[in-house]
Amino acid sequence: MRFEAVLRNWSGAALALVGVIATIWLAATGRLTLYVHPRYTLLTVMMAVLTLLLLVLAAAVGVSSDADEDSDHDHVTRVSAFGRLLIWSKAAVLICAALALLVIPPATLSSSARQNRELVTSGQALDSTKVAALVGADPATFSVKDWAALLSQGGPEAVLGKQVNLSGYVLDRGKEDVFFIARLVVSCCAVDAQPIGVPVYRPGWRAEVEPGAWITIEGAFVNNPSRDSQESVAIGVGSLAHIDEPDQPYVF
Amino acid sequence: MTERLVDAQPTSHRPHPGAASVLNVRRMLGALLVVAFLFAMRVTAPREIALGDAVQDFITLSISVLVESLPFVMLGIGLSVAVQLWVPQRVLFGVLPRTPVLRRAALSLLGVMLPVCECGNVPLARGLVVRGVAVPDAITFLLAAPILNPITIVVTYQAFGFSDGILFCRVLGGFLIANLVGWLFSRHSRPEDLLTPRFQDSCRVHSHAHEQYRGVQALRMFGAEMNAMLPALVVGCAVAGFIQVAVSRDLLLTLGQNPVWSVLALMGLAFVIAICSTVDAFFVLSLGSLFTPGAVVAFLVFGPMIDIKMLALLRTTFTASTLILLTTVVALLTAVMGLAVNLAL
Repeated sequence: MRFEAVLRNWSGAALALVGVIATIWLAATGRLTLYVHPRYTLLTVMMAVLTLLLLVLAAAVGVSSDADEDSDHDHVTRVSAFGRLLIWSKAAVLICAALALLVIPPATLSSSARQNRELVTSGQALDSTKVAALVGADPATFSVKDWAALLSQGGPEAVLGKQVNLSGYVLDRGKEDVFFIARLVVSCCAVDAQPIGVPVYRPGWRAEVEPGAWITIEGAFVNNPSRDSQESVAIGVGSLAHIDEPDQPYVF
Repeated sequence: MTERLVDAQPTSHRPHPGAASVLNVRRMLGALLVVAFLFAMRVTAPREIALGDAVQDFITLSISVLVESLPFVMLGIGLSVAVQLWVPQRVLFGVLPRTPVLRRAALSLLGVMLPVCECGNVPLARGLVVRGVAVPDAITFLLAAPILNPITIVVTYQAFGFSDGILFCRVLGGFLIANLVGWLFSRHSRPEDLLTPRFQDSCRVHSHAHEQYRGVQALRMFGAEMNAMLPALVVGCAVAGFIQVAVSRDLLLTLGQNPVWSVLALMGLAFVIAICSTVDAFFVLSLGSLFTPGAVVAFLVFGPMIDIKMLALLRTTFTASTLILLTTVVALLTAVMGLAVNLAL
């Protein structure tokens, strides 16, 4: 009974504790951005540390006498089978949360999730990138998102002939001689991650790379010779190599 | 702080001596040990565990929603405790109009001053109810605050500007629906019955509880509120993560251009995706110009009010039948509004 009382009064605090410890650890190891946009890092870490302090103090203070009375008298008489089931299901939630947050290593979205989402073709991710800042900058430093924004805002003329050096994953859009080199762009948290990418012209690419594989390519934008795809320009590939998934696979 | 808490021990009167009372060093050390143990668990956990793609994505997405919403829930709990302990009742009710309709209108603008995300609003609304705010008024606040909130409005403006009247419809529609629903629930003969028995109990407990020191009381309320909200939040996040993996988005997205189906499809998407009202404008914008303006408006009005994670959180406070009624009414009103926008444009 005592154990059940502890569970009833503290399972929520324990869940919060598991959550904030996981958050602090993720932030300390630089992996919080695998889950949320970097703009939330400061707020998330501050609230996590504050919550941790408050939780320790709250544990020291204990539950209120009313809640204790509740557990000592009322519930002994009132605890139903359903009530106990509820308490034990809280325990189950706690165990699952601890496993997911404290045991299972952090991960990025799998290749099937990366394939299944709609390609970003308009909107904030493309419009907010300052294209003016990109003009004249060293194209070797451009990300997939930068190129996609440049292409979307400036049109084919803005990119034609430019040298490209990119890493990303292979996004299959159902064409035989064109695939997209893509990254997931996160606007809030990993739930809203969507692929953003630029077309790559590479006849017979399916024999070379698998959809979802991480690659790095070098080449230049050319008029897209493919009749099969609608994109007017695409990257003509000089070299293509497989790489491991980057530590930070997302763009923001 | 510590000294004051310890001082409280002899003066606070307890119904029975064994009851946990004030800052207890042993408990505190115990809590610190638990913290250390959990940190050690995280640090020593294996580097790699092979899971199937679907399972791994479910976990990643659920954690992502949880990590995203946790700070806002904490902020909401903090504000809720502050409202209950430090805002005197006469101040709270002194500034609110007496007429129910005007009072609800005023409460729906409270979000302007308290820019918390929708998950943070649930603990805050609970705090308001404990403090004596009528249940229908709290519902109005819950529905309106995430939309009539400076961050949401600015972000929506950044995403859409004034095009298609989307910003205007979102703000006005959110306000009208919240107040209409509040009015509807105020017709209930016993509005307290909308609340779960457990929450009704805790309202009574709170109104009687008197601690010697507000700091102690605040910590206890913080713990109790955490206890009520967190299991719901975690389950809500898990359900949201599961649906992401289980439901194909393409199905919803293919309904894009039909004036009727697009509205319903984006409402369905808003329901399952459960993202914050402060960023949902960017999200729906990034889906491309696939959707009719009415559908976008419906997404932006329905999502902040009702989604799968919100329902899990709201269930801590409202009975299931209240939530079914609430969801149905809000969904109908939003759908009507979305369709009206599509017909008008």
